Amino acid sequence: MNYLLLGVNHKTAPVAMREKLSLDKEAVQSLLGTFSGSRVVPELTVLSTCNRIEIYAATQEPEAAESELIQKWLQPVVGASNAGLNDVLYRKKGDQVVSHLFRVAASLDSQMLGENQITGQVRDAYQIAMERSATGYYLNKLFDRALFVAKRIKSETKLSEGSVSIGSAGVMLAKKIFGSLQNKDILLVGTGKIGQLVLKYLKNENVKSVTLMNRSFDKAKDLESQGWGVAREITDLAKVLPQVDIVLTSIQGQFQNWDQDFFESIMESRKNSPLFIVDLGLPRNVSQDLSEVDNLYLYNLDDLKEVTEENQEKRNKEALTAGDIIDQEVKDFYEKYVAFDALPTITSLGKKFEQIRQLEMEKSLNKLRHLSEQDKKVIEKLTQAIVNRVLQDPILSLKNKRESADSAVVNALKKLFRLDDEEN
Amino acid sequence: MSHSQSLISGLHGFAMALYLLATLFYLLRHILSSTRLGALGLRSVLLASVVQIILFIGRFASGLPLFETLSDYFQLSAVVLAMSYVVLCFTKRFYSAGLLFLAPINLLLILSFIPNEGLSISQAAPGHGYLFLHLVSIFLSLPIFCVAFVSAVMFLMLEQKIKSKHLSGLVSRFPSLAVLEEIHYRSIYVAFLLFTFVIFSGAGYAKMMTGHYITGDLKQILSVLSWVLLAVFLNFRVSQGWQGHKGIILSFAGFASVLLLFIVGLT
Repeated sequence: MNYLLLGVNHKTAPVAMREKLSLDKEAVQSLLGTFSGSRVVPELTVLSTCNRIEIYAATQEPEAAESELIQKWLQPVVGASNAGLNDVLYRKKGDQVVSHLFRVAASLDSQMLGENQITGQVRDAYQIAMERSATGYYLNKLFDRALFVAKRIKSETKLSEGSVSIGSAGVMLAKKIFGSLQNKDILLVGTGKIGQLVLKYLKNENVKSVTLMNRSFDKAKDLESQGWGVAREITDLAKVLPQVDIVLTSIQGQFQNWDQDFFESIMESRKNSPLFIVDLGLPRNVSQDLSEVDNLYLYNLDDLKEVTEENQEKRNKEALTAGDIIDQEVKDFYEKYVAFDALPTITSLGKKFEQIRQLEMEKSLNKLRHLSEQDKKVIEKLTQAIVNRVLQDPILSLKNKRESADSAVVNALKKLFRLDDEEN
Repeated sequence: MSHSQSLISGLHGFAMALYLLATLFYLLRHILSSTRLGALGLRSVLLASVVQIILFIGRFASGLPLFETLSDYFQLSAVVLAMSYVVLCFTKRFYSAGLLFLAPINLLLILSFIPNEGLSISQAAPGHGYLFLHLVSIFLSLPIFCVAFVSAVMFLMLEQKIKSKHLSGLVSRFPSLAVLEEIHYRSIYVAFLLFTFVIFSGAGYAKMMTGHYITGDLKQILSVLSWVLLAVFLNFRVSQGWQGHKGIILSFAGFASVLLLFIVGLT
């Protein structure tokens, strides 16, 4: 049995192509159903996310399986010509598939290194395939191990630690100041894209309220109609500031009156409860002197970028350690897999030789009736020893040789000794 | 030395060894960045505190006095502090503060191993009841003050990292500023109540011994000063919003005064 992978991902295919090839849950189930009972593709799992569409198969006939998968998955979408597909589609076999899936599940192959979503997506894809009875021993073993490796990497490395996007860095800092953000009030001043991006992350933390302000009140109203929060006139700024915990600013130019004295009075009126200002404007909206005010924490866009870059660098270092773990796991898995793959052949080979030995012993002993029971036992042991010695090297070779994963050795043995008949 | 005394002494030594082992685990955890070592450190602290609690229960069950010497009171403080750390780990994720808690725990244990004269409370009549309550409340408030102090230090370290925009390393794993501030305030609140009890029981004992509640000695002056500083902190935090950095700096004056009082009391 061999592993086969066909796929496209964010590295090989543009988003338009990925959108074309992607499969929703129903389409995945339908594709799995198409191969139900297939001799060429007996085991199949489909992983379809926004960044990758990958088909994992366990097959005895990789070439035939590949063309069948292309025919049923890709040709309905891109047509018989497969135009442009060869440039974006990757094909992997054997231990390359194992290594790839381990890397994908551990998010080493993700657009954002160390992100947590992909492991769940791999688990879901596997679950769907299992529910459709599309997996068997080989893919079960592969996916179980991939999820185990992902968990191991999460616990043994810091691959997923630290925020690597501006939005998540903002949330991380807010949480370091306030702990939970559930009862926090947020003020967004300016309706720029970056402000909305950070606000989106904060809103995911179930904040209590969001107030929207903009120099053009209509724009704030627009955002309000989209469900971002409640719009207020920018002239109310001084009234709102004592009531909020987090301020996101992304306006053109600086706030003229936002100096230390102004904020000291604001802090006094809010009884010094902490205030987190995220200045997302370029040029900066807020004077850096404000960070000297007690319980006021000020970060600008560059500060957030620095946080994300530092974390990205750390993740890159951790990825090296994770890569070593994966290499070791692939080796271990493949050795076990090879041993398992050859096991039925080893058993059949042993059975066949034992049958031959017993048959020939019986024939010979019928002719050698004069022998004593003790002599018969000696001959029995002698023939057993010969069979064991003859089988020793091939069995060791089947268990240990990596090449037998390609089934060449296993198939040769099966043909030479007609072991398929025995197995059946 | 009787058999039970040598057993008690041996178990004290074992608990101390476990705390030192925990300190080593935490040190290595920070050097090697291994969370497993941190978990081993926490387990060692937990085991050590359980050994100490068993010791106290054993003493009580076998009819021995719970607190015979000053060492026993230091042991009480150490175990209360250790248990506070364990509880904070599980409720407020104080895992990365292991070394900050183990420093005072080890100091208290070292003090408990310094030979000292028995307090002979049972023979200190007529005020032995007051003295017992006085000492127990002192040595219960001490670890609570330590919790407040460690939380304050953690707050300042984390705040400095956030303000300087270099949030990394051990400090980045501390609980949030809000949590640290809350623990700081609540522990000072509890310690303040205990400290009030310390002052009243001390005054009661003084009355028994000298016939006067107020003797005007250095201990009493420092006690009142510490109590006033802590009361000012608690009052200002609520009425003036002195939370965060400013409140913590004020509380340090209270800690310094309590520490001075403690040293004067010991000497």
